Amino acid sequence: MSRLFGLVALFFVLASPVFAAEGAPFQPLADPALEARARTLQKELRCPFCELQSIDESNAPLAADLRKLIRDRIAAGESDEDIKSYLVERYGAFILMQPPVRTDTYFLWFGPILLLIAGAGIVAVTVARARKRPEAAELESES
Amino acid sequence: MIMAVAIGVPLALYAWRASSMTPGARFEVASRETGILANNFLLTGAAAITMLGTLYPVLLDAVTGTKLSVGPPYYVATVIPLMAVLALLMPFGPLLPWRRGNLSATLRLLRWALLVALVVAIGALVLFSPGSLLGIVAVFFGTWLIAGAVTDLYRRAGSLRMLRYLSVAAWAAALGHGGLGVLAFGAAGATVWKSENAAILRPGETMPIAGYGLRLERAEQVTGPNYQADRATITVLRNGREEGVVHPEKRFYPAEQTGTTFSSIRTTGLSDLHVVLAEPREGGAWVVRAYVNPLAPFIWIGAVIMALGGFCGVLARLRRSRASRVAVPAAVSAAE
Repeated sequence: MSRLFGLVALFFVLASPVFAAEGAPFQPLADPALEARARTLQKELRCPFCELQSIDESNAPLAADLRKLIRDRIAAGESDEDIKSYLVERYGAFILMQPPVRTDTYFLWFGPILLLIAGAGIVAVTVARARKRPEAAELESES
Repeated sequence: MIMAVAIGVPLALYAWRASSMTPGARFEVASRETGILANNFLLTGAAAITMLGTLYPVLLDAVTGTKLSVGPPYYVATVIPLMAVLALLMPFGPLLPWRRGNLSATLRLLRWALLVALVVAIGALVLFSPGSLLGIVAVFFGTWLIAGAVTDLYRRAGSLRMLRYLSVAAWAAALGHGGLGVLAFGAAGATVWKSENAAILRPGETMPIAGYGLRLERAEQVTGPNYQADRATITVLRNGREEGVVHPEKRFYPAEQTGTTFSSIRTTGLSDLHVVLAEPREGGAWVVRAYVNPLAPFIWIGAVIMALGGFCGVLARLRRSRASRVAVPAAVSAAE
């Protein structure tokens, strides 16, 4: 399942759709430090139309518009958090590549921890049981 | 449909083979058995977390209507630590004997591997000074895995001359684990140390990218069998010398009213250079994006080495079951 998902993701990365209509033209910020901030930020945000593509990768016009919006707001002196919360207000948490920790994502974030505790428990019990077994008469040496 | 096959086939396999699983013999904490158990636990855990991350947004949307994205940061936070633990423990596995081992003796065998991994990781830290922690950790584990595999081979063979007399099973473990180390280097290079640049180029202008220069010579319209494309001719320069020419395209398929960017990849065997023709501008200028992914070919090389290890493992199993066919009923050995 996950491998299939990976293949699908790969397909979308390799064959990024280019729409007939173009979005805002690309114009990097003059200050390299600010431009680097814009780059980092657009990798953390999802293109609302695409299959789990970030704004950074997508060729969709909306992604191009959002790239411009991010640069305009960085140039206006807004912080990364300001820009993110503005976009979340506009598009919902859907736009964040990293899902927020909320009541409806508790299981997503804490599920892995429960899983690991349960798995480690199974391993511990299995080893503890194996240590109590009597020595086998015949050796199954394979190495 | 795909889900049905992906879930049904393993269940059927399990139903078919479950009866042949028997509780094994006694073993201690420090043993190959525990290693295999830990390996299965960590790999299953990583797969389960990936499934959770994949299905959670779908289920949440179906149940509450809330739309959510689970992107790369989630997997970096959850699966990567698990893989780090796996990589840390992995070299111990083949060095531990079945049933009862000695952890401190195994650690003594691995002290050179640990030393080499630490030296290489510190070297990487110094060399790539504003380094990312993730990259340094990947370099450490990559070296640790490769050095661990070499340690295992050396311990089994005793000397370089005896290396060719090693069993297929010994090569299986060493190649499988060492291949993952090679892959770790590739993954670190391609994600952490990649460089990218984008620029608006008029014909004749050059943009820099990680030691290369890319000079846009011209862009022209070409017609393919079912598409029309803008095709650029870009000269790749290295230290002012011309190294070659790439032709990235931006294609448009009229039948489907969609287009794709057809990027060019140039590899030196140590790093990959991607050149993408992004958007046209007035006056024959183009937005050109370029990426350099150092060590990216190692991802493929590592995977091939791991596959080779897996092949050796199957071969070793076949040989073993052929050797024991006298003792075991034919049906069981065929199923093995």
